[in-house]
Amino acid sequence: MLNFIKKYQKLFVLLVLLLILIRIINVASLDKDYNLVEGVIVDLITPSFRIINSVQNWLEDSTKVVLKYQQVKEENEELRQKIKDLNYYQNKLEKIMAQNQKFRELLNFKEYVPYDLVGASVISHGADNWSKTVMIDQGKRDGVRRNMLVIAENGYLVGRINRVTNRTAQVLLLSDPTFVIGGLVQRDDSRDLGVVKGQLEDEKLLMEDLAWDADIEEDDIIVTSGLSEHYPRGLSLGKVMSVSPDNYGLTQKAEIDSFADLTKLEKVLVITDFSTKTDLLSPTSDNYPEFNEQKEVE
Amino acid sequence: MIYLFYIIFGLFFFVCQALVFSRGLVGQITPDFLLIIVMILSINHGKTAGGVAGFLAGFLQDLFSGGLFGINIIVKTIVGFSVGILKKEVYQDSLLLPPLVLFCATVVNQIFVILFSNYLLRFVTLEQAVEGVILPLAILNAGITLIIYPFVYKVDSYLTDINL
Repeated sequence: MLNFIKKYQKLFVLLVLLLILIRIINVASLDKDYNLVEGVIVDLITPSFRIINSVQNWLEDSTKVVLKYQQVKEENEELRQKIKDLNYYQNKLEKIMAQNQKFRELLNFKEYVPYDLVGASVISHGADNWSKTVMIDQGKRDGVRRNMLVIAENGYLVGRINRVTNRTAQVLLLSDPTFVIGGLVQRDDSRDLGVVKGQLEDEKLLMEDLAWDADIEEDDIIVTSGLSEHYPRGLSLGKVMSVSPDNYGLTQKAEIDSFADLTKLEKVLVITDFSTKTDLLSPTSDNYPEFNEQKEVE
Repeated sequence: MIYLFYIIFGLFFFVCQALVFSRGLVGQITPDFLLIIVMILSINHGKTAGGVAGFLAGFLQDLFSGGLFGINIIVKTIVGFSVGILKKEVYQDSLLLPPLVLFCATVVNQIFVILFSNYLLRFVTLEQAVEGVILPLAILNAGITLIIYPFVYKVDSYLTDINL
């Protein structure tokens, strides 16, 4: 036995070191930010993503115009009509806003600022099949930090910042299985709580740990619960597709269709500050940020 | 010069992997171009080149992926080194053998990634992973190798002949 070990001594040492290394990686690296060297390498590579991304977009746009000429023409007409309608609504809105401002001044209301946001473009997607991430072109120098939430332009939750370099940041998408956030049924006569997370095999989200008698139905809207001090309350997550019993009937789980199309993200917003702690769920609150209003219009 | 060619080629395909094909080339599956380049390098230049290329490719992949940092470094180094050992046993002129090697290497690579990452088996069973990701990815990688290997092999042979 000793002879056998002596003969393959190097191999044994290598194997033991490898197992220790794998153990360390599993303990330490799932929730890890980039270090200085890694950050510099990522920042050096990302300009090539931007170049190829813009070439890809240009190619897609050009071929679309050529191949779908009729559709683009109709789209153009439709957009012209929409611009006319929007101009009318804009004028109307400006009048209402001016009136609103006057009333606010009369009643001595504070001007409301919902969240501090930083706009960003998606420059690449995750490079493997086991995680769901995107890279955005804003980083530490733009005020982006780890664990900040990321929303789509229409206000739907997209994910959270996982790793940051000076110029870029990696966003862990809502559909990644390691992304977990508290969810709340938005309906006034329910308000039940659960844990929302992504799934590896599916783009649908899963809401688990709902009480066995929780009042949750198909088409209910799920929003962030805000129970954690790190995340704001009331950001829209998705719509309930189906509800079924879980843990032998002790709890319920729901399948949720995310509002944001996570496979076609191009522009996103990072919430850099939500210290106003506004309750977006309160129907009487006049503190509704613009994106929630947009959702209702849609 | 040969290695410079592989670095440029690898970086180009990596950007494509993270950008153009990130929404899935077939279904939801993103091909692993980095593994393809590492394997081709291992088959043509042996275990040391394969191991080093595996380490660098794994590092790059870990930087741009969301899972455990370091897992691809270990797995790709092991797979790159192991396939490099086969260099003397494999006819590099054969155009059908590299896709076969890629198929097997992809299966081994992905199974190692799952087994070495504690958390993945919490979300998916090994059977689901093989059926849903590993086998389609192995077929996809083998198919891509069938297309790009003749080109890489010709450029590699040319650069070797002119001693660059």
